[in-house]
Amino acid sequence: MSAVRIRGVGKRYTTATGETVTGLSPVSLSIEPGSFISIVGRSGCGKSTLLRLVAGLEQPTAGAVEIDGAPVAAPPDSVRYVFQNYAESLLPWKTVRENIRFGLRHAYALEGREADPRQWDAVIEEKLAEVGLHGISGRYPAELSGGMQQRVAIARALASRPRILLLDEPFSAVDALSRAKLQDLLLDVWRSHGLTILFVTHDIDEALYLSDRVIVLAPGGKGIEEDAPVTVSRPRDQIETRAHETYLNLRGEILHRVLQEGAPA
Amino acid sequence: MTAERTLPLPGLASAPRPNFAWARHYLRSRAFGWTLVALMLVAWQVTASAIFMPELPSLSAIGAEWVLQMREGELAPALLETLRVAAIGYAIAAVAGITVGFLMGRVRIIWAMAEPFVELLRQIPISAILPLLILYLGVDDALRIVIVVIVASFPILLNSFAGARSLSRTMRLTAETFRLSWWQTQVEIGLPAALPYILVGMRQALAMTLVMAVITGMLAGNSGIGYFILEAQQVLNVRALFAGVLTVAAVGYLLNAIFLLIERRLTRWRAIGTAGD
Repeated sequence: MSAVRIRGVGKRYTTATGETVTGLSPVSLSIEPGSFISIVGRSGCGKSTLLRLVAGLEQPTAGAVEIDGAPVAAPPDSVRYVFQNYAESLLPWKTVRENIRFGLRHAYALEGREADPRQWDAVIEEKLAEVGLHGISGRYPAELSGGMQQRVAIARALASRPRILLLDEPFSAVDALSRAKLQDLLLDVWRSHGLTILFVTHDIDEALYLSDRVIVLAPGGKGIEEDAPVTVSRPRDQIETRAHETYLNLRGEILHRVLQEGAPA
Repeated sequence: MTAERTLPLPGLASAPRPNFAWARHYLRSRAFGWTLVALMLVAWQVTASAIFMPELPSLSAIGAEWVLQMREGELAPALLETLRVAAIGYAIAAVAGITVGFLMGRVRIIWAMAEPFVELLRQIPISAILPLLILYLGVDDALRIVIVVIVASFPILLNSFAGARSLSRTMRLTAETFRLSWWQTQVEIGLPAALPYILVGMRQALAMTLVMAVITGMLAGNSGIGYFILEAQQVLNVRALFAGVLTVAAVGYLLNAIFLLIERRLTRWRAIGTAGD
């Protein structure tokens, strides 16, 4: 069974002036459990809209999203969303520890030690270690760099034990060096937690490096333009993978396609 | 990241020029203003001691009168009475203002229902409805407290409303994706996000509360430090009059200082500058 099934899902908005705008023309997709899928496309192609529809944060005007076979009407328990804007997604009045605790308190289903709140202080340190953070649990998010804040946001999402993780351009506000490290971190937690990941980005390299499959959305919300499997072997490496022939060919193909589209950037 | 900031800037520490940093620092701090206050008080004391003026007693005479009035006179009970009215009125205003203002910001139907009332009522100066209030409430405790409540609620309400509206889209969606209930969203995210605004409103209201608590004592003509001042004027006890006025100023300053301390403690997370990537 698919982890996520998107059946003819589309979204139309009504603007303040009463015009109807297509946010996303109906698309259909089936996502296997445990896979890493990226959605790429230019601004306005509807990639973030699609992610919010899968998250249940918006309701489609056409079609339906199914998670584990059940239609999505509200944000499902097993799905967590990581926002681009970590500065507002992390609760700034809570320390890092309290933010992770927030994730634990609002978890999908806790097992073992995690089910016992008295163990949470230790669990929180483990969660932070898992995203490469040590000794910062007493700090406030504003005291951390952007990359560190996004790590905390990922740790908080993981603390609530999701099976499906949705990430909306999570690394686009982070500097290039931190971004490469965060990409590898995300691959690590994806593998170790057996997550299904849907990753939205405008960076084709990032999408190819991370994913099993790259979905290219056409500009103007016109739907899926290409659905390309990424056959480059795993585990991936920032230097080797990016020099791999299959990777470079795919990159060329997709870039060519995206750049050919007439719409101005 | 933070370590780098503490490194001295090269070439500045060893500058041979005379260093006026302390003077610049002083002139840009509040110590400068306090020095002026102290100088003014000294000038007052010297002038009033040198030239006898019934309308301007010396500070030492006012101080002696203050001690006398606090120990044996009416100042201490009057002050307590004013603070009691202020405290009750302020507490009611805080609860009502935060509740109504916050809910107006978070629940559309409550906004729709309450907004016209709020906008109409806040246009009315308290002095305009005073005769009506006296007619309905007499000149008792109830009148004094109600006046404080009316005046103090509006800044709290309006700021709580702005705070509730300040919740960003990302925060709202974060609450949704973590599946918080409506109630959890308000308590865990809405209120903390609104807190800095609420505190600004409460601090504005605090100053107005004390002013109104003093004035109502004069209006109703029978209680509190307002009445103490009025009475001192009527018997031409200028020293007691000054003692009363200066007490109000000192209490107001102290309350504000305590409030600022609490405010800083509660919103410590905001004082932290954003670190670079």
